[in-house]
Amino acid sequence: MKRWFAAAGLFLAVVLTGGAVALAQGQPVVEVHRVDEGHFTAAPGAPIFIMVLGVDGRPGIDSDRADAIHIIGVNPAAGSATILDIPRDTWVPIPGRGSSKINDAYTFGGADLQARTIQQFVGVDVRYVITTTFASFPRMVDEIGGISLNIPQPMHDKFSGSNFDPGTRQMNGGETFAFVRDRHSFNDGDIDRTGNQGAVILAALTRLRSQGVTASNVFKWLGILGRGTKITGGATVIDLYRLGRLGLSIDPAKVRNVVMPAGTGNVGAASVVFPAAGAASLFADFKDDAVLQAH
Amino acid sequence: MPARRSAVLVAAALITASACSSGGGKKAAPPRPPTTTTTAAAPLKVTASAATVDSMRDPAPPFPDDLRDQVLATLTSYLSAGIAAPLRTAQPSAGLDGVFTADALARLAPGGPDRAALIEEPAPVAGTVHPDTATATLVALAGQNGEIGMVNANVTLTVTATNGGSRVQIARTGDLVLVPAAGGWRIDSYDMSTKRDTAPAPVPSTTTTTAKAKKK
Repeated sequence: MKRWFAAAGLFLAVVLTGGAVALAQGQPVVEVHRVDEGHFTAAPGAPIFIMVLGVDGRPGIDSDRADAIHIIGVNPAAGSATILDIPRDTWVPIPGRGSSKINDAYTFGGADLQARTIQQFVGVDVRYVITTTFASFPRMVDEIGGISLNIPQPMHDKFSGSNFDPGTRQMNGGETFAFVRDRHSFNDGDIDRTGNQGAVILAALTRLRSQGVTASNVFKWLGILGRGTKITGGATVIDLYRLGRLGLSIDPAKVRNVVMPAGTGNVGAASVVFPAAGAASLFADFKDDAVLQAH
Repeated sequence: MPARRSAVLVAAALITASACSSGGGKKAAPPRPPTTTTTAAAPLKVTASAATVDSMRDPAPPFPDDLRDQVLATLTSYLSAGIAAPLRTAQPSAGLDGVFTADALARLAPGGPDRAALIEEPAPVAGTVHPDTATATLVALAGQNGEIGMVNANVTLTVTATNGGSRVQIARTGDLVLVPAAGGWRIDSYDMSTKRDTAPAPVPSTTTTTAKAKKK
């Protein structure tokens, strides 16, 4: 009989993929920020919400913005999870700042304000915030052996470097990087792109699980994650390990990847995204147990 | 102790034979009579077959000797208290407080969901418990600050318990993950499997050895 009681994060897959939306040239950064001081313990039945941000900060960019925003809800008891993808241009109230694009929250107040903005907008209690920039993103994908992705439609975009025909294909780090950056190949631009980023999270989870979720492998993957990245915010090695075990315990078939219902519009001269009908009920369905029953 | 006496006899025979041959030129040593020894139980001690570090920064720090010693001490305590003692004494395991974290102990208590995976239950007095294999491959995980925060011990712990005419070999293998706790390193999580192999006890453990003289 085999048993693990220390369950433990979609984390690895999440960090490997979250935020890959802009070409960083500086030092790769992954920040794991613990919003509260509570120590994570596996609590069957209690959902855990982790926010993953991709920040476009790099040399020459004055202010970082969270251009990729994903909320991962994990239900340990059900062995299920949901990835809620939030378009970066979503127009929302930001605590103390009036209304603005949701990705401005990070510029105004870093991970803490971004978390509070999401908590106010979606209604979930964000336990951790993982912030990435991604100079190391292609290398990390390569180090786990690449991932298998389904290309939903022709993607040929000079900006991102994507050049893919539809179908399932094995992707190396550079190709994956182009895939998660491409928004020009899609009618709905960033709305579609954020869904693709969620798909990469799932593909990475699948890839890691295929290698066997053992303590030794989780140690190795955390090493891959940590090297060339920066982690701040107080998460201990034990926190990261337990999060990793938790996420890796979940069958990708029991993970939903859902983009917030959205429509485009304008506020003044700015092109923005508004939550569409159904967004509020989706959030309510999501926050109670991290599993979507009605969507 | 018979084993020690026999060993002394063998050693004395060897010394005698050597002394005889050293000055005797081609003179053959006198034939040695067969001697009988009994096998003493090896001490319960887990040893490391390897110790490496996975690190979240480059370069990886070395695996500290004192950490290795602490981890092995905990593993040895587990082997002794969790496996060998119940077999030897027919009493429930005791002394696990310093081996496991509080969370782990809660799941290993009598009736706990994971107890069978790690803890030996009392059996008819075994008589002797002999450790066949007690090794661990240690891998530590260091954070970006370079500090080691966890250690995984991939262990192979095999003991043979003998009671009169019966014998059982118990092999517990898998991962034991240790974390710093209460000033030491304790087992916090695990992924273990257990295999039992029963067989009749062999003829009492005597061996016959013919001493041979060294030739110079």
